[in-house]
Amino acid sequence: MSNDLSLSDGSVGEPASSVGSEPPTELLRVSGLQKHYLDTPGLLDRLFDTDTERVRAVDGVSFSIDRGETLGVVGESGCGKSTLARTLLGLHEPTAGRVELVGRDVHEWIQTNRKGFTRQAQFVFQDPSSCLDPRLTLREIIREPLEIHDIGAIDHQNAIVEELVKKVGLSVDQLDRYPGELSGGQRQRVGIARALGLDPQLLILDEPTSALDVSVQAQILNLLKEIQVEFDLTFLLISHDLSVIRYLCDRVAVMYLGEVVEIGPTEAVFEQTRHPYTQALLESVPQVGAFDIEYEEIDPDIPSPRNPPAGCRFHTRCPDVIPPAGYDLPQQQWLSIFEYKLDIQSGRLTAEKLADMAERNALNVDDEKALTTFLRASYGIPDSLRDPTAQSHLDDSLHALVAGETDTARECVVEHFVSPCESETPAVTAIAPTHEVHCHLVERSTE
Amino acid sequence: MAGTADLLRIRGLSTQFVTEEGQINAVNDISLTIGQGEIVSIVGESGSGKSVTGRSLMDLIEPPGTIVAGEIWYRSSELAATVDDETAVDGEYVDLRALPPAVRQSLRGTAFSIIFQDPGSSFNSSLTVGRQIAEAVEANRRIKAGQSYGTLDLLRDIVTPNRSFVSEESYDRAVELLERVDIPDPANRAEEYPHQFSGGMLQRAMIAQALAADPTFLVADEPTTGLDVTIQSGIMGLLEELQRDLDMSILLITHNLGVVSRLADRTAVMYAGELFEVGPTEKVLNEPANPYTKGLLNSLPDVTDPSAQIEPITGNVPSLLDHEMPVGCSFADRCPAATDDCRSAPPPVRPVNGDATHRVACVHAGSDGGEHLTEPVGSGPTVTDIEVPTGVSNE
Repeated sequence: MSNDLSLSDGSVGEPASSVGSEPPTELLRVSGLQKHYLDTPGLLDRLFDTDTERVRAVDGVSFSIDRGETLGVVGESGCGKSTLARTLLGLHEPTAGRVELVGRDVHEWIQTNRKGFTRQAQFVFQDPSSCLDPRLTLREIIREPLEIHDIGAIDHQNAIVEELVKKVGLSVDQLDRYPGELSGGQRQRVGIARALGLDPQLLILDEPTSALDVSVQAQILNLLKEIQVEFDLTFLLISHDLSVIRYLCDRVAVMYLGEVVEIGPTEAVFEQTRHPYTQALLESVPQVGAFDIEYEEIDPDIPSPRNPPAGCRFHTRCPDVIPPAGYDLPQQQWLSIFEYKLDIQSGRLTAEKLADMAERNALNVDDEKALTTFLRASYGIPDSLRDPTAQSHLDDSLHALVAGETDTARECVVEHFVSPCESETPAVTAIAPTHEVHCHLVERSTE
Repeated sequence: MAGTADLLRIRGLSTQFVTEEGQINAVNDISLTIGQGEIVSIVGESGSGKSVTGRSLMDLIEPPGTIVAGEIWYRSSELAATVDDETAVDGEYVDLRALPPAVRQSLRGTAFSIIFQDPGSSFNSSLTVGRQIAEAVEANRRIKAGQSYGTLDLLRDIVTPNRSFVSEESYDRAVELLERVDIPDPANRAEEYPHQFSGGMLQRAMIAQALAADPTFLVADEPTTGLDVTIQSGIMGLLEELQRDLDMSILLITHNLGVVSRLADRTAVMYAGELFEVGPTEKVLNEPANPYTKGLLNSLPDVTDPSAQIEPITGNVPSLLDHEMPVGCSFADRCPAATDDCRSAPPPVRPVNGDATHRVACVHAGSDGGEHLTEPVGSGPTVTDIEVPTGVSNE
């Protein structure tokens, strides 16, 4: 059943709700979820009453998952995907926003009846060796949740355990072993069996195959597909591996610095990719057996979630960042100028650092012409730009920097080269009823 | 690519570990050549012996492990001129295994360099990155100048512990190296500590350190594992660039077939300590001959084609304990094509479709082209490489 969704798309136009003939019921709804971590205030902070810094791990995420569906969450490390999963399950208190499971507010539910909630939603962790108690046998590990929730007598519990073990592809005579005697793949099977014991509706899988070898990963992926149908499960799959996401998920949400930048049916996101970040992720994956691909590289420098860039958070790395209105510049020239601007704005480039670099490249620090040429070359800025106004503003800035006036140089570019991407937060653009993108470019193209 | 310009010729290399449970044949009689300026990759699952192979080449095997057999012929006319032992020299080639340990050690970190998977644990967290790279530069500079560390130096260091080992020139060179691996603002980054670097940056810094002595051969052990795809892409671009600009030979150890596709000229598939298939990467991945290679490829989900079903290889990687190793092919228990022939004797090593550059160890694959391909070293299966192994002769 879960495959219907991915098949139905491609055309990008059909709602994701074409599961069978019955109208789908929503299982999980997340609206405006935020999770910020605060630095512990030190003595000085308390004395002077200064604000402590915030790490915006998850910053306003909204989506929903239908019953029987698999939603993938993908992004680079530090994008907040694991924090999202943990906040959903109430392992962290959200800073703001709301999570509803079968129509009930999760955090209220947890406060009143945590056990009742955990029977509905379970977690499978990334590292199967550190989440199983090494002193318990497999039987005890898988039985533990049943004991905590007082499910039946011990015979009944044992029967459930034996049933589960067979379902996940282990044998009953392995039940008296300890986790240390198992391979990584077998341990992950135990983790899955344990999560299934309470017959939950939602399973959150946090990088379930990242620690496994490819041949074992394939076994676990297929097992997940089987149990989803058999136990009528809904999955939220966190992974940084795009091929795993594509194999398992009906829909996928791409996260960047705490925000969802693109969400839609897997087929649409992979084939009709609209967000430049999703594009960059897809283009970075080395393809097996393909030898004539030129791989594009994007700036590997991920900004800190403590102080995320204004406007569109991806603008510091975006190859398609929009030039300011009124300039007539080819994208490549604009990108070079923008990179120069970002560096000088963030203090990565100052007159002192330029002098340093020049010295290392055996240039005369007082030779302004040579310095300008060097600066242009290192950012790939051509000697003359197509747009005369841009040319003169840039020249002013370069000259100021070479002359040692970092502040003037900064003012010049900060004033005259402002991309809409850094000044305005992109709105959500629905390019199909189920495919949403947060990007100025897409916003403009649909206007 | 290979042939006359081989940098390394590995013959019948075996490395064993002795443990309480018995002897482990981590690397079992493998032969491989690595051309000048070539990127050769070894792929396999964890426990297949690929890292031990890399460490054996670097002479980094420590007890309870030992290299029990094999020859590592390294092309270096300068080194060949200094070696007296005639059995260890053949033209321009020197058998590193036959050299005294001190000579082997002098190559490590100079001509031979290695980078590891987890750069975070390879750096000293209490020294700045620049200082650590500079130490590598300095050590190499002193070796070249013929200086050694004697008792007097030790005494002096005890009396004045803060005396810097690193000279200013070496430190400057370290900053240059950081710039070489595309670390922005290298002069300032050099003064930072490893924890201030991101994973990708630290991997670049480790590559910079490996370049300290202009190596001719680099072992890259899972250089991109654990990194995000965007960062991984940058590291791969850097390795490509270094190989091209410095004409370095690289042995790339990885489990990621995508990384192999992008970087490696030739690929060796390793399983249970043995090479199962060796050939040009394009051939090995697009026309795999060994059932294990096919199994690996079939178990990968395809990022471009969602309809492709994945077929896992059943079972688990076998134990490498000597007394538990099967007589025949070590993959037979998991292999869909296995027959009794597979279990009775080690598989023969033959070219695939008469192509001498693509060889496979399997009863059911490849064909005897009338050539004498296998070299009777040891008893296990041997994938001999491109060079017809009549020893290393007449360069």
